[in-house]
Amino acid sequence: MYEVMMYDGGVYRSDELLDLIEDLGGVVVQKSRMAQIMLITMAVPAEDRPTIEAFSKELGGEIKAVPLAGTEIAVVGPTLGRHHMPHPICDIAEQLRQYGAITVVMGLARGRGKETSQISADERAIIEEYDAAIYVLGNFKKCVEDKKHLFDDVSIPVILISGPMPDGLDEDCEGIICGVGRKSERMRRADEIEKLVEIADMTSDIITQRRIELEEDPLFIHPAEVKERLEEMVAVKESLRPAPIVLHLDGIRVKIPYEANREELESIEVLGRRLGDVARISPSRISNSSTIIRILTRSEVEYSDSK
Amino acid sequence: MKLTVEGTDDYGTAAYEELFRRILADMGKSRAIEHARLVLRPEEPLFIYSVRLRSRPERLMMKDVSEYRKEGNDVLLVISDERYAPSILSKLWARYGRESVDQRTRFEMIVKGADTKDLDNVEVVSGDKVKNEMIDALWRTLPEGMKSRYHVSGPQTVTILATEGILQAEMKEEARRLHAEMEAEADV
Repeated sequence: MYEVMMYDGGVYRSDELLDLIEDLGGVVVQKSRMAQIMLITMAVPAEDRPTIEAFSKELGGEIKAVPLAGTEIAVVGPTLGRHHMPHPICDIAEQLRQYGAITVVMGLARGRGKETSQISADERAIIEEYDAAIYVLGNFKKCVEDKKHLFDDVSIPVILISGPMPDGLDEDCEGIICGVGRKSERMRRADEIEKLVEIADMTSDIITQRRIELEEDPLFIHPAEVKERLEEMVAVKESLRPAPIVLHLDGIRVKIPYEANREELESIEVLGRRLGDVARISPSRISNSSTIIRILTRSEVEYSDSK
Repeated sequence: MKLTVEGTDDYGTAAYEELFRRILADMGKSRAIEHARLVLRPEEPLFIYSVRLRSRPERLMMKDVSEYRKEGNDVLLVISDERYAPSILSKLWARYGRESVDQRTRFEMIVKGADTKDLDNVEVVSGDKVKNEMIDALWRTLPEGMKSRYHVSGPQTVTILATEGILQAEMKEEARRLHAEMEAEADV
């Protein structure tokens, strides 16, 4: 199983580290250089971690855990209104970023109200594009319990954050953390920061579990390897988006229009195959400017080859 | 500010008590409130907030917040309470036009062609405005999604009711009763 970690050290001999990652069969997820500081987020086989750590130490750098690197997580609130939106949702999103995730903050169009809250099929489909969703609800127990239809049909792992501990929702989400709710200011007290860490730790555990499940029937190719091919595309090089390629656990979001680039994407060669044959490529439900690539598992590829 | 909160959800009641205090403090309205009573029944859902102000919202006229005297055809006006300077200026602009209001210093201005008796009748702050600002602050503290709303306003007390479905007669009656109790406190 691949393990994602980050090298934090100097530029000196970092090219040797990049060679080592390649030799071990790992991939570089992200590489950023600030003056003499080099940060390399990598995915390497878990059993090779000691080798990477020993070499990093030799270079004077260190290996840090970024348990959520290579994931994109949605933090969802009932609305974009001031009642629900600003403080806890943004604080949670920021905490997850510190754990290495790419996060988006999302408000439902009609998620407010105990009796009138709704989620549309489009909203559900958008949320399901991410690796996990964190729903942040309010302070009243009955209201939280009555809003379970906002997430009980969502197919990705859901973590529910609320004020009181709701009853009867254990089966509808992967985890529940209470003690947050609606807030009128940032979460900066010691107990609130502990709560943020608890949320990020639970998210990490759930993502790790999802990674283990994926290893049972591994993907045909690791998303980070596809990322390297995508970076060679002219449309990606010309993209002005801050992060044109975002890794998911089972694929990639590439922020280029689907219609204009479908054929080129499908014809990219990976491990001797066309990407279109080993992945499902579809437009993002958010807008036409992004494309979602879901990599098939080895058994799915074998099955489609046998037909 | 004295705050009395009645609720059926222990966690939510405590959380909304804290939220009410913080939001009103952020908006600078806490000092204006003498007593607030909140009724929180999320299972219905029904939320009633009743607030009694420290003092009756005053209607302030131009002579209450400034001093002025006739000089020839014009009036020399000196603002005596700085808090109302923007409001005074906008009222004068609206009544006499910008070209007729010559602001010499921060507090002094010449109003061309004005008359002191005329200025006596200019209302700078209406009591309703203060109450409307308080109602707006209270709406902010309510849970989102409570779109059926009703409010009762008295000389010194403001009461708002919010629910999600149809406003029932008994809900309004409860709001009016709470409002009357708060008004009665003011008379004691």
